[in-house]
Amino acid sequence: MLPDFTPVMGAELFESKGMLMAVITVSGIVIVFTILILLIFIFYAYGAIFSAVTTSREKKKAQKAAVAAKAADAQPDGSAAGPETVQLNGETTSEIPGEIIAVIAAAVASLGDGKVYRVRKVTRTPVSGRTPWATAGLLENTRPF
Amino acid sequence: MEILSSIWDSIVSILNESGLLFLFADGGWKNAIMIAVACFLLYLAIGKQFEPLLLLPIAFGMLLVNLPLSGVMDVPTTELVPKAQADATEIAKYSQLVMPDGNTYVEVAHQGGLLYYLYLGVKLGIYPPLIFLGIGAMSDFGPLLANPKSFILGAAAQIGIFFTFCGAILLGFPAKVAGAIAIIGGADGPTAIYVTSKLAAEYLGPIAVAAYSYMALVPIIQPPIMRLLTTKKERAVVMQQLRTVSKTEKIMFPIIVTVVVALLLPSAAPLVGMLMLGNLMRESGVVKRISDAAQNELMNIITIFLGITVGATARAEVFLTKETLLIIFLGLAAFCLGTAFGVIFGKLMYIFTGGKVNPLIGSAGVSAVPMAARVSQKVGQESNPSNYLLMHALGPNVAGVIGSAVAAGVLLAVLK
Repeated sequence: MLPDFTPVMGAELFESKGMLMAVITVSGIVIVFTILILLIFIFYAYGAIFSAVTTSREKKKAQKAAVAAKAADAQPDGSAAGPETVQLNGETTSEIPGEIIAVIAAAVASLGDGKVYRVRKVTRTPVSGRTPWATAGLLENTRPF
Repeated sequence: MEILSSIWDSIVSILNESGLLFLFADGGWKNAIMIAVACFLLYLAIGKQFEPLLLLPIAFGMLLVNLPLSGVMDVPTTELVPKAQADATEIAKYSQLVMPDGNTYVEVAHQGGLLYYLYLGVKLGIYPPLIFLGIGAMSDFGPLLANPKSFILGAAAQIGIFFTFCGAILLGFPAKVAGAIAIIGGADGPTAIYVTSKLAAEYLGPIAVAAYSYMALVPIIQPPIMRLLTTKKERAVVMQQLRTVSKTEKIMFPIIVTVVVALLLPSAAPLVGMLMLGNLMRESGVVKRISDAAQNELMNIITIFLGITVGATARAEVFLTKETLLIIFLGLAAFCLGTAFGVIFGKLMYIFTGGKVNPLIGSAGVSAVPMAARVSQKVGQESNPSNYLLMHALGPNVAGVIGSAVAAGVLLAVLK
């Protein structure tokens, strides 16, 4: 025989307004905080586990990359150096895909001020902190109301 | 002359059957006032663009229901017509009843108004959880996962709900109505409607209008409280960039939250469950079509139904009362208290973390996604133009959605 777990609740059960207010306020605040604090602990533990897994994966990747870089450096022609700049005279190869260069050239050509432009060089600039795309996204999301 | 008389009689007859005369009859002035209020809300929605997606259908529903004799919210009724007086169609169409007096009656059914049937989705608590499904599909809980401390701010901003409950009781409202009024402080329209439909459906109009009006006025209500409770130094704090959250973490999040909240507080399960289902659909990436439908088509359809039917509950005889004014006052108090407690807890986090947390993100704990987070961002930039608090504020903001659903669950569990 299971015990009776029927909840005994309902505003009419409280003897006075003061009692009702005290019970609802205290129990409400306690329950809301308890559940959300419980979620904090769960997600801290959960985040820590995932961070540990991710860090170990990244370490392994970094080790592999370091080994590959060493092997590339050992090649006499130095072809794996990975140029950051592409000269658009057809002589230099680049990690920057041709489609990206075409998009950049199209954007420059679309300036539309009557002059003829030629893209001679595309250089990858090291960015510290937030990337221009992230900055653009932030500005988009934080425009004044 | 006879023709003119006939035309005049026709015009008089049409006028007598129109709602126009009713406006000048006894009590008709109340409808006129409500029509003016509806037009003002339409102006706010269209002219000022205050929460137009909801305010516009709400205002139009209010306008429709207060046009005399429109019948849009009429309840379906059954009329007993003596068989002798019923026509052949009615006799064939409707069932017959033999009364104890020996006479036979035909049960002639009169259909309800269009909005009455749409309103069943509110009355039965169907629309708000469906809206939560769409919100879940649109929400990124990444900032919350990256900084779980944000949950505290989402909880703190709900304190206002419980203090407002006390205020409503002291002003003489019955406990259930007080609970429905207090939930306005959660700054979450669907939650407010869900709780009110369960606890005090007769107050749905004023409470929904107050809740959505205050949500629309977040950029006006919150900044003075935020400035009052913080120093310029605190407001200028630049927070560290959040860590990257993996896809697996994001997928696990809705499942864990649903299990924890539904086990501890089953009455919050419909709201939290649907919120998290929407989010799981988004983050899993395997049901893109359904996720898109929840975010767009479903959300838009339910928004129309919810808005217009909630507006249609604001009939003059219900809305133009002393209670409505008190509800509007208490709703404002709930909102301000929620904001204040969020900022106060933000200050505590500022102190305990040695100045690493900007207290302004606390105000975003009142839900009102993403408006409240954008307010934190805007006020933060007043003190430090290069400060970007938006992502940090989104954590407490979405925590506030969960917090208000939990607070709603508490009120329903205790008061229902």
